[in-house]
Amino acid sequence: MSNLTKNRLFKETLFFTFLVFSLALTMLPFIFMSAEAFAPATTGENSLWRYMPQQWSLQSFRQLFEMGDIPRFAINSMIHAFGYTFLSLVINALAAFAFARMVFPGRDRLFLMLILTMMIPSQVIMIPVFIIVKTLGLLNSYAGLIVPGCAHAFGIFAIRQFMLDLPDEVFDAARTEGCTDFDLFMHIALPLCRPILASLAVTSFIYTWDQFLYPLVIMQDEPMFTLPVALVSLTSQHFGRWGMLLAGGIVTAIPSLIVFMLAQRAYVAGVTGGSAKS
Amino acid sequence: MPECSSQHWQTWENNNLLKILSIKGKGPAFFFAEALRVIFLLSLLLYSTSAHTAEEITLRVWVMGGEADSLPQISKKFEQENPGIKIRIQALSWGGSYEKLVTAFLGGAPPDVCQLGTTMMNDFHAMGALESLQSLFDEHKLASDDFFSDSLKTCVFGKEHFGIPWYVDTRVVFYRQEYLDKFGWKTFPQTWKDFFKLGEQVTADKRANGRSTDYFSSLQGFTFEMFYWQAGGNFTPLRADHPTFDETTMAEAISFDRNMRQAGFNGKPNDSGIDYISEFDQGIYEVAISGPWMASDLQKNQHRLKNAWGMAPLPANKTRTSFIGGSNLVQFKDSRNKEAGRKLILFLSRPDVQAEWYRISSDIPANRHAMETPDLLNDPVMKVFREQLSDTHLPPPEKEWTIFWDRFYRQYDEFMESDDDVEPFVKKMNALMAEIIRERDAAGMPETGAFYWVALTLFPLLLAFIYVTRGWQHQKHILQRVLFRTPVKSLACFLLPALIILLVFRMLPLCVAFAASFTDLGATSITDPTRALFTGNQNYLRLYQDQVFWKSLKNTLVYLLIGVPANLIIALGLALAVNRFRGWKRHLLAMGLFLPSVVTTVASAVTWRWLYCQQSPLNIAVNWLGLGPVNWLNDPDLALPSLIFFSIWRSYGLSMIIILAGLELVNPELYEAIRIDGGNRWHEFRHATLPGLRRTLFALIIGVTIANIQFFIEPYVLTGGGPKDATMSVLLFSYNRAFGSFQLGYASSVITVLFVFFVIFNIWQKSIRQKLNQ
Repeated sequence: MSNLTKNRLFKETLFFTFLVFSLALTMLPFIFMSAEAFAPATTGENSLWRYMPQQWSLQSFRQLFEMGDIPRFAINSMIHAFGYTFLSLVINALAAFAFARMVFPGRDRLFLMLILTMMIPSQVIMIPVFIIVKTLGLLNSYAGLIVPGCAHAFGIFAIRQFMLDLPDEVFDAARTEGCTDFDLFMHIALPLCRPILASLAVTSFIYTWDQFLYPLVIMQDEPMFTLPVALVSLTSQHFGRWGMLLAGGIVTAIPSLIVFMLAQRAYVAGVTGGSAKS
Repeated sequence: MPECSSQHWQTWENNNLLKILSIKGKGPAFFFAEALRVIFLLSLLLYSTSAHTAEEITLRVWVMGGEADSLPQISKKFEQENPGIKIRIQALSWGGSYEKLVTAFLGGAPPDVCQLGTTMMNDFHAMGALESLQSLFDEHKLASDDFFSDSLKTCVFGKEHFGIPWYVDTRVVFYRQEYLDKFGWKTFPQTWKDFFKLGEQVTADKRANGRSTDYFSSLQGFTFEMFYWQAGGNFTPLRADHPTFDETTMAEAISFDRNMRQAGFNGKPNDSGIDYISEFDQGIYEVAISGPWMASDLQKNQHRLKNAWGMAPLPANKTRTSFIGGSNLVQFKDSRNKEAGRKLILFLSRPDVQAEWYRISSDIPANRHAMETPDLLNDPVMKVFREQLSDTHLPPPEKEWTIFWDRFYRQYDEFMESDDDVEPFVKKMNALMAEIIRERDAAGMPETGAFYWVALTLFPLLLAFIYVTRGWQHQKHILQRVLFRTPVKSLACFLLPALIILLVFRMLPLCVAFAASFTDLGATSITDPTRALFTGNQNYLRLYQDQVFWKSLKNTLVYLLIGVPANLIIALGLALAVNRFRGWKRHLLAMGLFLPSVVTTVASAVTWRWLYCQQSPLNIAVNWLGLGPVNWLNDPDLALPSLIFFSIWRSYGLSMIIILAGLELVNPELYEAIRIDGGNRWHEFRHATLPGLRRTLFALIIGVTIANIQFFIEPYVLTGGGPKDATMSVLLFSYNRAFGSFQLGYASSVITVLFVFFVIFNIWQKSIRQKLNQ
C-alpha cells in the first residue's frame, strides 16, 4: 500500500515539474521582454552583461515618455475601455430584459435575427463600418470608437439566458405590487444578474483594451490614439529601438493585467461561460 | 456557467457601475435623463481637455518620421519670427502615410501643413483633397524658376500649383572603401561592366571567407525604372496603338538585373533587427544605393568604418540616370489654419532656411538659390548629388503605372530566378501594359447614383423586416391577446438602443459592402459614393485572377490546418495535467498558462517581433546551439510557421481554461464505474473524459477556427504580409486593398466572399452540433 502512495506521489511530482516547466517556457517571452526593457541601451555589441540586475535602468521608459504623449494615449484607452464596458452593459441588459421578460409580437424571430448578427466577425465588416462612421462624422471621436460595437448579440444572449433562469415568482409578485417594467428591471432583474454582469464587465474591459484594428481605422489623429495603436505606430517609426518599444509593450499591457488579477474569477467565468453552457 | 462562490460577488456590492445602474427609478424618462447627464458631463470633461486657448494658433504639421525628428530645430525659429503661432509636429511612417492621410482627409481632420511625397500628389489631387497654393505665385512671393523644374512639375495640375517643393531626392552609390583598395580600384566603377566586375570580386572574396555574400543592399536601392533609363529607354505617354517598352532596351535592362541577382549579389534579406546603417557599418553588405540621408547617418553612427566609405553617382550604361523624387509641402482644403500654414510653407522654402535645413536634415534643397550658397557649393556630399541631379528623370506619373508595377514585380521576381529567354518576357510585359491601357480606355461604366446605393442597402434590410413581421401573421392569436397589453413606449426604451446600433453598425455594413462590391468605389469617389462607377462583376473576376488573394487563402488554410489542431492538443494535454491538482497549485498553473491570452495582443506581437530579430535572446540561444542565424521572418519558408508559433503560444491558454471548465462538468461517477470495471487511465480518458468533453471541444474547434480565419494582427505587426506575400492573410489582403491603396470596392468583394463563407460554415456547424446533441 505504501508503495502505491509512493508511486502516486512520484507521479504527481513528475506532472508538477512538467507543468512548472511549461509554465516557465510560456512566460519566457515576458521575462525577455522585461529584461530588455529594463536593460540599458545597446552599444552595438550585444553582451548579456546588460541584463544583470546591477545594470537595470528606467532609461527606456524615460525615452518612451519623451517619444510620445503616453499619458494621453492611456487616457484614450481608459475612456475607450470604460466607456465601452459601461455603455454595452446598459444597452445589452436593457435589450436582454425585453427578450427575456416581456412578451411582444415577433419577439422570437427578432431574437433569431440578432443571433445571426453574431456570426459576422467584426473585422470582416470593418471597411463598411468605416464608411458609415465617416458618413456620420464620427471619425476621430470617442463616440465613433465606443458606440458602433457596444450592442452585441453575445452580451444580449448571455444576459437573457441568465434572466430566463431567474424565478418567475419574484417577478409576478413584484408586478402584483404594481411595479412597472422599469422597476422590475432596476430593482429585481439587475441586482439578481450581478454575476453575469460582472463577468461581462471584466471580459469587455479586457477585450476592449486589447482591440487594435478598429481603433486603428477610426482614430486617425495622433492625440486620439489608443495605447495599442500608438505602440504599433512607434514601432514602425523607431524600428530597432527595442528597449523603448518593449517598455511601451509593458505600459500597454499593465492596466488590463491589473484588471485581470483583480477579477480573475469573473473573467474566467466570462470566457468559459459560453462553452460550458451550450 | 461554473458555480462561483457568493462571497466573490459580494465584493461587487460596492461597484460604482451597479450603483449607477440602480438609481432609485421613477421610470424610463428619469433613467435616460440621468444617463444623458452622465454622458454630457463626460463629454464636457473631454472637451475641456482638448480645447486650447483662443489667442494662440496651433499649427498641425505632419511630416515623415525622419523629418519629424529634425523639424523642431527649425520650427522654433519660425515660432520666434511669428509669435502667436505654435507648431505641433506629428510623425508619419513612409509605409503607412498613404492610409493615414486619406483617412485624415476623409475624417475632416487633415493637418494644416503636410509633407506629401511627389508620387502621391496625383492621387490626392484627384480626390480633391488639396488646396491650391497658386496665390503664393500670383502675389510674387515665389517664382517658378526658384525650383528644380522636374520637382515643380509634380505640383502643377492644369495651370495651378497645389504644392511647393520642399526637398528633392535622388539615389547615388555609397560604398565601403575596403574592397576597392583590396582589388586596386582607384575610383568607384563608372560603368555597368565594371560595377559587375567589382561585384564578382567582392562576392568571391566574401564567399571564400565564409561570410554572407551580399554585395549590395536591395533596401532602398535600384528600381527597374533606373535600369531601363540607363539602358537608354524612356517612358512615353501611354498609347493603345504603341508598345510601351522598347524591346531591346528593356531586354538589356532585365538581363543586367538578372545577371546580378543570379551572381548572388543580393544575399538573402537580413532581419538583423538593427538599422541599415549599422548593417553597412558592420559590413553585412558593401554597396548601398541610397539617398542623401545616408551620408549624414553614416557620419553620425559609424562605429567601425572610421570614414572608410565614399560616394559616387550611379554607374552608367548609356546614361547614368537616377530618378528624381522628393517631397512637397501641401495644404488640404479642410485645413483649419490656412493663413498661418502658408506662412510656414513660405518660411520653409526661403533659401537661407533651406540651406540650414540641409545642414540639419541633409535633405537636398528644392530651391535652386539655396543650392548656390557658399556652404553648399563646397560641400563634398552635395558635390556628388549635384552631379547626379544633372541626370535624373521623373518616374511616369499615370495611375496605370501603379497597377502595372504591381503585376509586373510579381512576375518579375519569378522571372529573375529562372533561366528563360528575355524576349518572350518583354513581349508579355508589353502585352500586359496594353491590356491595362485597354481597361482604361474601356472604362465607360455608368455612374451608380443614389438610387443604386439606397436600393441595394435597403433591400436585404427589407427582407429581414418581412421575415420578422411575417412571424406576427403566424402568431395572430397571440397578437390579438398581447398587442393591446404591450407597453409600446417602454418596450421601445428597452429594445431600441441595442436594435438601432446593431442595425446601423452590423446589418447595414454588410449591405453596404455588398453594394460596394459591384462598384469601383475608391479614393476619387469616397466623398460622394454616387459618383462611383458600376462595374458589375469585375471586382469578383479580378479577385479570381489575383494571385495574392489565392496566396492569402492558402496561407489562411495552412494556418488553420496547423494552428487549430496544435492549439487543441497542447491545451488538452495541459488541461488534463493541471486537472490533477487542486488548490493553489491548480490556480497558479492555470492562471500562469492563461496569461499570454490575457496580455494585450499588440504588446505580445511587438515582443515577438523583437524575439525573431537576429540579435534577440532567442537567436543568441539558437546560435549557441550551433544552428546558425535563423532568419525567422524574412525567409519565405519560415515566416508563416514563425507566425503560427506565435499565435499558438498566444491562444492555447484560453483553450486550456475552457477545457478545464468543461472537465468540471464530466460526471465523476463515470470514472468510478470504469475503475470498478478494472479500466486504466486510457480507458478513463477514452470512455469518460472525451465523451464528456465532446461538446466543449466542438465549441472550441469552432471558436478557434473562427478566430484563426481572422488572422490579422500577427502578420500586420510582425511581417506586413511579406516576404513575397508568404504571410498574407485574407483579412490583411482586404485591409491593404482598402486602406493601403483605397480600393474600397475591390476590398468589399473580399468581404462579401468571406461573409458567404461564414454563412456556409455556420450552417455546417449547426448541423454537426445537432448531431452531437442527439
